[in-house]
Order: sequence, then structure tokens, then C-alpha cells
Amino acid sequence: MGDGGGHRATRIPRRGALPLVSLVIVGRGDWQLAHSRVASIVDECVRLRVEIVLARPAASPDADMLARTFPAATVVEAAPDASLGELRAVGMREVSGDVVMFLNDSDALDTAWLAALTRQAERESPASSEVAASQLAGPR
Amino acid sequence: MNAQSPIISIIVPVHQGGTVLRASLAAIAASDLPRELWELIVVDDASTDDTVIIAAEYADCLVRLPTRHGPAYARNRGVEMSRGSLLAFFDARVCPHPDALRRMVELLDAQPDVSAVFGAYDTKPAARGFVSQYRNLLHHYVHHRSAGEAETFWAGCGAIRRDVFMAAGMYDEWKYTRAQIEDVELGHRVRTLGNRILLEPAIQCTSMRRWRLRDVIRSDFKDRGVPWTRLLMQMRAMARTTTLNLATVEKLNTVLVWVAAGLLAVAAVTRSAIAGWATAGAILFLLASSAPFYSFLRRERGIAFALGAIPLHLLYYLNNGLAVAYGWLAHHTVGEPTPDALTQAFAEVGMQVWPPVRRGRTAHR
Repeated sequence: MGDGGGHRATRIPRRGALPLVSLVIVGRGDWQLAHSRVASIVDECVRLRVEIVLARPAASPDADMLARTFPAATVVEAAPDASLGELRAVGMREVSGDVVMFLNDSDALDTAWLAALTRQAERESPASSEVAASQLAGPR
Repeated sequence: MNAQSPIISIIVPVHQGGTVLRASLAAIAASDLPRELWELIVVDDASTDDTVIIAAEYADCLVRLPTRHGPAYARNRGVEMSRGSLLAFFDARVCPHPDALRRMVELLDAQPDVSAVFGAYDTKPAARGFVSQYRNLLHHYVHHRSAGEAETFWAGCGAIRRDVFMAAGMYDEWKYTRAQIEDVELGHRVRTLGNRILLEPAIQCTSMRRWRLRDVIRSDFKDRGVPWTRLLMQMRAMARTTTLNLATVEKLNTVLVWVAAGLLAVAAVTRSAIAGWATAGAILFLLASSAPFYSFLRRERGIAFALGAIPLHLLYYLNNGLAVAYGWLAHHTVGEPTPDALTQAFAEVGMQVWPPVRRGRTAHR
């Protein structure tokens, strides 16, 4: 890790747009655990437009099944002996979010937090910006 | 980002963290506070190196800012993503000791009337150079000497209650767009609201900050001395503030070094023996008043190091005097900067976009 290779070095300011939220989930081949974790959150993530990236060791038996079962998620592979930290880093190279959350298969996602973040993002969307801009402009 | 809410949220702002960041995050990960009680939020302030990849290995949440705004803004964005009732701030160039986080939590738990606490560097700074060692040891010494009630806050290794932080208005991200005294200023606001801040030197971290002489001079003048002077002038608190680098002995030494410099100039021009002896007297007095610090350096690094540090320490006081003079002049001529009208207007109606518009100062005061 840390070779500076594939991640996006330069990012363009996106003032006025929503912050993109990404979720990186890492695990080491426990299909049952991975399936139950992703299944429990995928609908909520799709609804909230949260990008999901699943990072697995290469040749992990669950990688293909996860990709087939959850087409909304992106599955990326790391070295076969990658540690959880290295899997996170591999996932990080794939995401495009301004806010990136990291979970292990065994962790539960705080969906209330995620929903609150998304509500805040919606409040600050371009549409609400226009409303506020009209407040700034005052009566014409 | 586990479903269970943590007690304390750790926020680490970083720009171009490199290998230092890995050591810092590994040290946080080695905390003896149970993992489920804390969350780690790293805010990448528009780095172009491997910072986000390194941070990804340790963080629960990573916030990526597309353009650089400075640590005050970055910390505020991290707080907005956090869930803990306590907020801990660590500089990306420190390695907290394993017990640092636990000590913060225990202290704030045991003393409900204390709103914030911060620690100190240990005596083993990682950077080897003489200037780095001197500078980091000076920081350690000043913090240890000032243990107890504090008038400021230190975001290098400090924790604060979330409600107090929000009530104080967060960091002033508009005024401090680079690493300056944003934490000191926050501390003044926290104190103004009637809250207590403690400096607890048992909360320790190892500094990995590398200092070159020109960094020391520039930072002391531009990022600490001048803005701190202007802040105190604005608060009309220059004389009564006696915390950390503004202890009475520090003020006296700053005056003395300039008196000595003036007498030296007079002696050189007039060839006056009296001025020469007066110069020597002033310097001797200065050395005597700094003797506890030199004695500390001798204990830690030996007599040669302590003697070698004397010119650097005199330069430090000279620089401080210049900064105070410049800050005083700026306060009385330029006045205090205010946000531009658009920033202020955005802040007043609470409108934010991503990345959020910097907060105007009056919006949170």
C-alpha cells in the first residue's frame, strides 16, 4: 500500500452539488456473513444513493457470488493474503465519495447516521441553495 | 462506522500526511480504550499524495475535501460527521500514547465541570535534528510548566465535550484558513462562555514534527505571534492573559531580550562601557530567568545541547517581540478582518453546499 498508484490524485471542486457518500465493506471470504451484511443495507444504500464497494481477497469464494447477488455493489479484489487494512485501501481506490465509510462484514451500519447525513445533504442540495439565494437577494 | 454510537469521536485533519500519518493512525489504533467506544474520522484536506489510501486502512469514516481550506475547516467537517458526545482532536503529526484517549475520557467523565482537556508532547520527539529537538522539547516544557487550569485549547492532542464545542461555535474556519491559532482562539471562546479547560500533562503524545530554523521563525511570527497578539488586542486581554507562552516570565524575557539588543546597539555605536555592562547584565538576567528551561534541557539531552539551545532561545524571544509589535501595529492600523459580504450572507441564512461555505464569524457567536 501507499505506492500512490491508482487513486484519484486531483479532484475537482463540486460546489453546489451533493456530497457523494461511499461505503467500503471488507471481509475475508465468509459468504454467509458478507451476504447478510450487504443484504441488510443494500436497499437503504440504493435509496440514499450511497455507493457500495465490496473489497475481497483475490479468489475469495464469495466475491463472484456477491457480485451476482448485489449488482448495485462494485466488487474489487486485492491480493489473496491482503489484510483487512489492505482490503480497505483497495476499496478506497475504487470509490468516488466525498464521505467514505468503512465497515467489516461483522459490523452493523448505523443507518440512522447515514439517513441523517443524507437529509443534511438534501437540505444543502442545489434546489435548497436556490431558495436560500432568493432569501439573500431579498424582495425585487 | 459501527451501529453502536461511540463515546468519543477522534478527528484527525491531514494534508499530505505521507508516512507520518500512518504512524499517527497506528498509534491511535493502539489505544487502550476499547475499540467500540471510539470512532476515527480522518479529514483529508485536498492531499495529492497517498494520504487517503493510508487513512482508509484505519479510519471508520474518511472525509475528502476537494480544495484545501486548512485544519479549522477540516476539523469542523469531521465534527459534522461524528457521533460521539466527546470530541478528540489529534494532529496528524503526533502519536498519542496508548493511554491518552482513555485518560481524556476518564478525566471528562470524572469531572463534569471540566469542558475540555488537552495534553502535552513527551520528551522523545521523533525528528532527530537539533532544531526539531529544541522546538518540540520547548513545547513539552511550556505545557508541563502550565499544567492545570488553561485559558486556551490545543487541537494537537485535546478533547472537548460536543455540546460545548457547538455552543462555542466550532473552530473559526473563516478567519484561520491555515494552521495558526484556531485552537487557541476556540479555547478563549470556550472560556468566555464560563467553561473550564484543563491542561493535563499526563495525557501525552510523541511529536513527529520536523522543524527547520526558518520554519520556526516563520511559524512563530506569522502563524502564532502575530495572530495571537491581534486576538488578545481584540479581546483586550493582552495584559491579563498569562497562559502557556504568555506566562509572566515569558513576557518579561521578551522585553529583556529587546532591551539587551537595544543596549548592545548603543554600546556598539557609542563604545560606551556602561551600555556594554548593562547589555551583559540584561543577558545574564535573561539567562537566569530561563535557567529552569536550560536545566530541563540539560537533564534531557546533556549540557552541550542546553548550551547550544541558548542562541535559539534568544532568537525565539526576539521573534516574539517582533510579532507582538507587528500585531499591535496591525491591530491599530488595519483593524480586524471580517468575512466578505457573500460569505457572511451565506453563513447567516445557514446555507451550505459541498464543500460547505466557510462559516462567517458572526454566524456562530
